[in-house]
Amino acid sequence: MEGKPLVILLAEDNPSHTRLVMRGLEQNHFSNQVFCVSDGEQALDFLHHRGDYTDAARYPRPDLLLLDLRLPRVDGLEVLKQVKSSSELQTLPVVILTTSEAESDISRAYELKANSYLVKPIDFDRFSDLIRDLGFYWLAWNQPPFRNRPLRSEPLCDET
Amino acid sequence: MVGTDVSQVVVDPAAKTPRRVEQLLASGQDLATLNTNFRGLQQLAGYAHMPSIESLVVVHVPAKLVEANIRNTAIPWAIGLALIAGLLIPLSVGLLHHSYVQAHQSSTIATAKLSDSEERFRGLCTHVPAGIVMCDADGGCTYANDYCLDLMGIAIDDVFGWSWVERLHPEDRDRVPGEWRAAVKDCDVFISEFRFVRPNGDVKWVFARATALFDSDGNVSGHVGSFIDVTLQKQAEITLRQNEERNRGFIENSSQGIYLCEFDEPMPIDLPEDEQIVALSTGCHFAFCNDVFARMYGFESGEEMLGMRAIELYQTHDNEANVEFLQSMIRNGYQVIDEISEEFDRHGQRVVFANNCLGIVEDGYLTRVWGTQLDVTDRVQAERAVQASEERFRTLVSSAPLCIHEIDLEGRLQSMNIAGLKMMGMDQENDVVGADYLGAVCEADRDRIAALFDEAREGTASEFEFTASQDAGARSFSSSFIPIVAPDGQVERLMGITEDITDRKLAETERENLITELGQKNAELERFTYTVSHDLKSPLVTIGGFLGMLERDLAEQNLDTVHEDIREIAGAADVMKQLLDQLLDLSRIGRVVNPAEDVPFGELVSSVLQIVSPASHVRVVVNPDLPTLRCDRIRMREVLQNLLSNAVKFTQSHSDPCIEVGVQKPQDGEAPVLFVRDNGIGIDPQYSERIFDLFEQLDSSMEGTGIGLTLCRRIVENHGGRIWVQSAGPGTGCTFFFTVGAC
Repeated sequence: MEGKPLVILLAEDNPSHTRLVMRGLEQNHFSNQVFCVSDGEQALDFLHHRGDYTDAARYPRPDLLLLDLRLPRVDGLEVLKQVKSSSELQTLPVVILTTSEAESDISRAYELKANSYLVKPIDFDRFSDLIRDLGFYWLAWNQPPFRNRPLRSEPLCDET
Repeated sequence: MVGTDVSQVVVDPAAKTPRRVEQLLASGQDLATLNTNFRGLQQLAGYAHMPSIESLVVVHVPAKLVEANIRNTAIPWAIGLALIAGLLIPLSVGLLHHSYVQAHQSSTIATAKLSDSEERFRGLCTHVPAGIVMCDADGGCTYANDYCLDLMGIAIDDVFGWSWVERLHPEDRDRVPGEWRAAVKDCDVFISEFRFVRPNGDVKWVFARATALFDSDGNVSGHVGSFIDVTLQKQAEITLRQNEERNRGFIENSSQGIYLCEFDEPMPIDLPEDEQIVALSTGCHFAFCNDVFARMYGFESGEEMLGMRAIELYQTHDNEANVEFLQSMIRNGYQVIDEISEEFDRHGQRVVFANNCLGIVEDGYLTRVWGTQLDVTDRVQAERAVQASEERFRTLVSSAPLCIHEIDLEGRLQSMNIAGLKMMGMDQENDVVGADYLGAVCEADRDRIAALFDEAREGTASEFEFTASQDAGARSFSSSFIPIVAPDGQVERLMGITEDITDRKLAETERENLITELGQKNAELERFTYTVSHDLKSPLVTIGGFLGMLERDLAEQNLDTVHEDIREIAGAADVMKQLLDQLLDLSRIGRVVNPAEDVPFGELVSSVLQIVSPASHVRVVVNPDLPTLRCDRIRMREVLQNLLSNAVKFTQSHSDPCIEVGVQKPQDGEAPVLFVRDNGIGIDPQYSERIFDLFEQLDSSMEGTGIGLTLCRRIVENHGGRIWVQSAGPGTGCTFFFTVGAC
């Protein structure tokens, strides 16, 4: 991977899952800057540079939000709703990464304009593949909105 | 008439009069009276034998006139006779003078007497109560007395030249002149009955007699006539005839059967009763009956029944009933009024009659019985049908398990069936009759029911529910107003069916509560399955993920990370076990119920603290006056264990952790409120409800499954209590309160 690393915010309350995602990203050599928060409140604080995250230089605005749904304090759907209704944050791509396969969660997430909905596989290989593909898709293939576009000379696809 | 033999004039079928006259003459009696019959007209006659002129004077006066006079003036009969006798003396002189002269060729003395008697005659004629008229040979009227003038309705001046023929009633104008002419021709006495029309149009019936007068040469010199007014008699006759016709019409056209039974031999009324019954059944026959009566027994006409005996009609009857009927007739003085009898006609058809009859008793003998009879078969059958239907209705109402009642238009109870009385706790219908219906309705419902009552009085039926007033037990009822309309179209009263629906209402409320509860349970279950699917999957993802990692790390000989992988896997398995245990606990609540017992909370708290075993630096304060409450000890222990271990867990970071278990002084009649207070991390008030939801954890860094508080709430609520938390916010500690209601 080349160019300026992308900033990812991972909102996940289960520390084991956090480690799994992190390990998955590392193994696929996505040398990105990943920030982890463990509840919805922290996630919102991070995005709005509030509370513990007022230092905008230290805590940059992310290019992608990986959001679990069942979060303490403020749950994932509420975080999603606030992000998508904020004029400043609405262009931020939000990928739901959760264990829930409930239809209500999926439709609610899309209603609230989630950009993608991913279910964590129990099988390790598939989990690993998911993280790899997720990285490729969102960090390489996907064209982010201009405002947040990283300063990059060439898109990934032109490198071949 | 003059010269005629008396016996020719006095027509007496019994031939009594001539004999009587002969007896009179033989006895030498000069004056007498006797009843006689002259041409069918009852008359009173006076006879005077006048030997001096060798004549017999007879005066006839219609008997009715004399009787009328006597009755009117109440003069005894003897005086009446004397009056007539007095009248006879002068009359005899005048009347028979002429014949005397003729017969004996009288002397001059007689001439003088003639003038004198003529005067008397005229006076007599004026006052005699009969019309007397004379005419000359040409028929011109020469004399008419006052009676005559009154009767004809003419003045004396109009008399002369007056023609009586012109005054005849049109219907008599052909007949009477002919009779007159025949009489004149034969020198006979003219006798007739006919009508005069008075100038004012009144019609007068007269009985007239006339005879010719002869001059000395034996030629007819004129006529003398007399007549009396028989209008009243004629009218009476006509009335009688009309009455007869009318009665016949009545009898023939009557809807009543009418009969006359005559006894073969009149029955002595002092006969023993059983013999009278036999006589009434067999000893008399139908002498008359109308067709209606005959048809009642299946005959065509009344004539067919003539001669039949009552027993013949009774043949098919229940004899006892006949005997009873005749007995009551005899005991009631041979009279029956509106008595109902059930009989059979001759075709064996059952018929019902209303009877009226009256026996005629003469000189101690019952001679005949008049009776009328009305066929009431249809009416009686209809009445019986109505009775039967009423009986059915009554049975239905009285045995119905619902309260059925009637109320009048003033809203007062008129009647109530047995089930209704039972519902009201009353024994007697009189206890509720007259009670105000609306008075039993509670105030909140009264206006609504009163409006429905007003509508019902106008004819609109309604069904409704209401709660009874406190006095009436505050129970719930469903009731109705059903207007009962009289034949004239007016609502005359209201009927209603009332049911005590208190129990049903309670059941409804209970059902609604259950539905709400079930709804809550369902929602919880949904949340439960959802969270279970999520939260149970979480450790599986961890396990699966780190197993993969472990494989790779082993392959790469990364021993450091191998340990980490194993730790992760073991941790996830632990979490999973905890989750399953607690879910099992949760599912047991409500399903497994331990018997309630009196639990001293002081003891319970100490035993729980031993298990929770807070670190030595944690100050634990337990109120020594904790109450003893009746509850499920095992479950309540779980509540305390959860609350106390939470308190320990969330005070870990505090430098001087403190946990307090206490009780708030209970308000009057309220359950004591127990509490567990800590000075730990506290809770943002906005999460004070959410923390009790399943799998809710405010802090993911803390151990736990998020089931504990859900478990506590479930147990407390199952005990009928309540649990809640108070905290000023993060960092200020928090207090969990709970009550234990009835177990």
